[in-house]
Amino acid sequence: MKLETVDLANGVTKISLAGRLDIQGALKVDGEFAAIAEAKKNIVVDLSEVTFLASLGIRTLIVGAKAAANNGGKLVLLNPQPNVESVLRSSNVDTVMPIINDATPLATVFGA
Amino acid sequence: MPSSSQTAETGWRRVFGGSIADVTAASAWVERIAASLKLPGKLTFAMQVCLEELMSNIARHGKVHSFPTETDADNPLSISIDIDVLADRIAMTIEDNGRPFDVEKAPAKVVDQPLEQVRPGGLGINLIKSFSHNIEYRRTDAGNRVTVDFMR
Repeated sequence: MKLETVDLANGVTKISLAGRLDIQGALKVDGEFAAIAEAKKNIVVDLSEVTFLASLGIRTLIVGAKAAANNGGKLVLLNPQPNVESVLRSSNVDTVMPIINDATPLATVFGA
Repeated sequence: MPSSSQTAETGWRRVFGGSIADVTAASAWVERIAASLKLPGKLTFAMQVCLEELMSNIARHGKVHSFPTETDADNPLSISIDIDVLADRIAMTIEDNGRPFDVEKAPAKVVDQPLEQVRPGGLGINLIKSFSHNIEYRRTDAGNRVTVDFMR
């Protein structure tokens, strides 16, 4: 499980995850992911390179989304692979973290 | 064992421990079996989701005590997995010697509140029920047995 961060324009931070966000992957990135979410406001999590997601990984994302919301911002999920997206949607995670794709203007998402 | 009297065409069995590394190893094992059977990626993914949720539940909650005790050392968590290939489905049976947990009756929780009120965690049971076609639980003398079916 890899995690990379880059600051985009308008105060948006992109966190790119790659690999399996399973129990082992989630435990590996939990601390760093939460710390970034606590320090930032508007976050895009790029899931395009995440090949697997289960409930412990969803937990990681929800903790981050709550931290961003506490800062007055939001966390959105970018380009999940179809299987990963089906995990998100069957858990109703998309009701609290919008799922967007490359065609979605970030200005619309964050109102920036 | 298959969940019905239908005879398995072929099958695999392996025993794992109850550590997080075991969950990862079991998932890789299931992936190799799925590849050898040339199962569609979606089906392989569904099997891995159910396996991960069932095994990580056992690994995290299977023992009564949070920390190893003398009793745990004498009787460590053991998780056996059977993969049986039937004419119309794949049956994955997971048996453990942990404390009783009826996954079939456990509530399938989804996110149903605004973000501020969502408590992280607890979404695994719904994933098992969403990604399998049938789930059957039986309490055994040693612990628990769960069979999840996936239509081929």
